[in-house]
Amino acid sequence: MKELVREQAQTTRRMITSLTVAAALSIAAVVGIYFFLTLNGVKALQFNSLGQILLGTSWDPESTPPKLGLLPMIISTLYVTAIAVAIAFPVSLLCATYLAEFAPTFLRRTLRPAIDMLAGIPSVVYGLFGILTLVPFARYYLGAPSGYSVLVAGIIVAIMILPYMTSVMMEAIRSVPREYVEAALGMGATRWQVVRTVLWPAALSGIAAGGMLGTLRALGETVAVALVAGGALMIPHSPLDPCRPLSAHILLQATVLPVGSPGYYALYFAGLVLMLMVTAVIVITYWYRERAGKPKVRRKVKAGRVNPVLASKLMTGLMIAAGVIAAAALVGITGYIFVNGIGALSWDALFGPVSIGDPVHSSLYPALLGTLALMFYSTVFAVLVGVPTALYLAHFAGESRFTRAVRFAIDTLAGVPSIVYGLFGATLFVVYMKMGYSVLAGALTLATMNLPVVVRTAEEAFRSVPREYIEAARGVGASWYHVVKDVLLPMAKPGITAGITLSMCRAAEEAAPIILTAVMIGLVSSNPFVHVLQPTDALAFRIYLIAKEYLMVPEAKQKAFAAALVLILVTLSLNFLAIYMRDKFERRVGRRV
Amino acid sequence: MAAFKVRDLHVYYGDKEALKGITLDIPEKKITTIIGPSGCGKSTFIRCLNLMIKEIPYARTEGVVEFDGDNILEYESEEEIIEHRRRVATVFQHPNPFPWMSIYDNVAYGLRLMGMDEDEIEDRVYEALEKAALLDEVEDRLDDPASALSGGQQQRLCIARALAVDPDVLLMDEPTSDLDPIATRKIEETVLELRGEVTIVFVTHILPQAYRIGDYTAFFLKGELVEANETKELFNNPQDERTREYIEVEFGP
Ligand SMILES: Nc1ncnc2c1ncn2[C@@H]1O[C@H](COP(=O)(O)OP(=O)(O)OP(=O)(O)O)[C@@H](O)[C@H]1O
Ligand SMILES: [Mg+2]
Repeated sequence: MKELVREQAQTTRRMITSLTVAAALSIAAVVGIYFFLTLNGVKALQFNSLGQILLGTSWDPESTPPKLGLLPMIISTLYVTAIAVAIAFPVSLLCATYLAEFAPTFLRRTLRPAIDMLAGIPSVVYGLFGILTLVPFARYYLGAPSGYSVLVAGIIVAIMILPYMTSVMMEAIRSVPREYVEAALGMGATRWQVVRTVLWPAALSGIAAGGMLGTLRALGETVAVALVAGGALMIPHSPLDPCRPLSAHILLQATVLPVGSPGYYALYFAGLVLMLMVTAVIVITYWYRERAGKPKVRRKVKAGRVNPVLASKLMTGLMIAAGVIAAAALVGITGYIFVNGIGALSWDALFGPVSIGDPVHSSLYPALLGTLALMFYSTVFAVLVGVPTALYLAHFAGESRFTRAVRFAIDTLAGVPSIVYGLFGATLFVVYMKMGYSVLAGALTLATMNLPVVVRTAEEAFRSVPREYIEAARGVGASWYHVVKDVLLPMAKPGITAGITLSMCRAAEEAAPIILTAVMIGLVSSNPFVHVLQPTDALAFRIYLIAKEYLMVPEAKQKAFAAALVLILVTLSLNFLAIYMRDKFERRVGRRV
Repeated sequence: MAAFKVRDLHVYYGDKEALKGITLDIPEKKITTIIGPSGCGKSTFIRCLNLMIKEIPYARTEGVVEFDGDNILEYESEEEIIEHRRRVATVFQHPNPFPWMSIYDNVAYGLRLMGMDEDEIEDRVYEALEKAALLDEVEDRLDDPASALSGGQQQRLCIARALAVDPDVLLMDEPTSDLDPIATRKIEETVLELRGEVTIVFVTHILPQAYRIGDYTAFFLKGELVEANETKELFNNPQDERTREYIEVEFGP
């Protein structure tokens, strides 16, 4: 008996040690990302001065001396992001308000998961859609010289970030206590006055968080923008000019510049600039939320000259219109891919002959296999580190400095653009660890990227296991090890599964990080599950490549559509699974769905 | 004169009938207390007077609630409903001042909704705080957040917010049940001060409270109105056996 107790106590100690080590790894990841970005980034300063890089307008890394000016890219990033957020923010806010407050229950029940599903459409698919529809539209009808333009990029990114923003804002508005709404209605407020004076102010923090999330994605969005922005190395003067945001610039150049060249280092510098923008957005949002939390002193509220009832009707109409626009855009894109994809999908397209180095005619089979392998290995790594970290944060971490560092690390990782993960992986795994372009390097990169997703969902799942179950187990003398094994893990399983599926989904849809670490045309492994040290093909990469380089080739569109459909099916079904698991979990712990 | 004339009022939540034919006059500028056990429909009745019942999509009403010559239950347009609510103010059970606004802004809230100009609002805010017996306690910190007040003060702030719009009727649904005895007393005193100025409907399940402040009292049971009378009369000389029983049990031996 004594022996057994001692043994269990020891197991518990060992468990806690391993959990702590896992948690420490996420700090290491953040430090690593900054370390490698800075390490390589500052080397660019050997060739050009800080001013030349930040304010220089010409990019010619091969000339002597090299010209490493990033100003056009910086301006492009800001321009595209501004357009995207200016469109998506109001539409999302109105949409979210409508869904949270006005929509009939059945509509909300169907649309809430539908919106979350749409968040799972891969960005490369948005890019494909943009290049085949909006780009020609802008060329023929808007007078954009080539069609590729800031405007099209902004619109595509706006559509992409809509579901994210709407989802977060809707949750925030839904959680405003009813009693405030009742107080306002009781005072004779119109529906619109309730929105303006109660729902939005009370949900301000969540609305800001939604805005921040969308802005971060817009800043970092790479593949879609690389496809539709045009890639011109000039400062865009009008929204109809082509441009090249930082993220797209990194993607386009990273694969062509030799390791160790001046341009190569400048790309890391570009990554640093991007991270700086991301950090600025986060800091501004935190500051704003802090400030907005305090009541304003005698704020003069303009009642407006418009009859409040009329205003209320107008705004309700506007909210519905926003909802319809958002729904139309998203349904339009999904429908477009489905219709074209089904037409293009055939046995041959999927399992026909593989021709090396020919992305158009080679069948999709190796790409699908590569995607699955990347999903599988990246998720294994992310779970091995993420779930223990989550468990540590949820139940074993006090409020120590270490815990705060881990939390901050996770928050930071969540805001890092995927292309920066690509740069990180390209240095650490591909070059320093000598993995080369390989499944393993890609999977480790994707795993780092997905760590925050896994940690956050799993931590939430562990946290919401009701305390009384834990106490019941502890009460009968269970060691912590047994509490984890017999109570926490089984109870939190659906929640953890939801996190895992989301991470698999992101691993499938992100093209940017793997282009820098894992994929190659030709010379791909026939079995990426086994040959993890060889490069591979992947669906998202195939779509990107065809859309970027091969659209002139006959049958290219067909192949791209077929690949897009397969990819969408993979990500949507994973997303569906995640949402289903989340609901199941919420029901299990008895939360309002 | 009756402020509200309620005739054969039925309310259904889906299939469940919460009020089963209430007929009652609410006298003008007097305090009417409504008593009854939990779940008997007191709050539902209040929701018919301020039309909050219209905010519950699955609720249905039958009968007549007459106010100022109109059957308000027939109001459908937002105009009619909000106009009614601006004359009939409500104080809820749980104090619900807006925490993101200052004390001043909370009281000014309804006036700003109506688009009144700020100079006039200022006078009305002080007047309302005075009436709610809160002015002395908050005069030097009107710009503090409302959440900095104690529970009792918050509830009086809600009363001030309701009074600021100068309503004809003040509906109070168990306004003291979240408060301690001293805060409760203060609210009762405030309410008694308002007697003769506004029509007050005061829901409570504390019988001594109903007795202390009521001019008239109505006793609800399982969705029905058992008895309504002058307060003294109802408590000292109940006509219905069920009223007598309830009062005996609740008041104690
Ligand atoms: N929003 C609602 N939806 C469905 N049923 C409701 C709703 N509100 C009240 N009911 C039901 O109607 C009946 C009357 O409820 P009401 O809230 O009016 O009672 P009450 O007298 O105010 O009770 P209490 O003293 O507990 O506040 C109850 O049986 C209640 O379950
Ligand atoms: Mg009640």
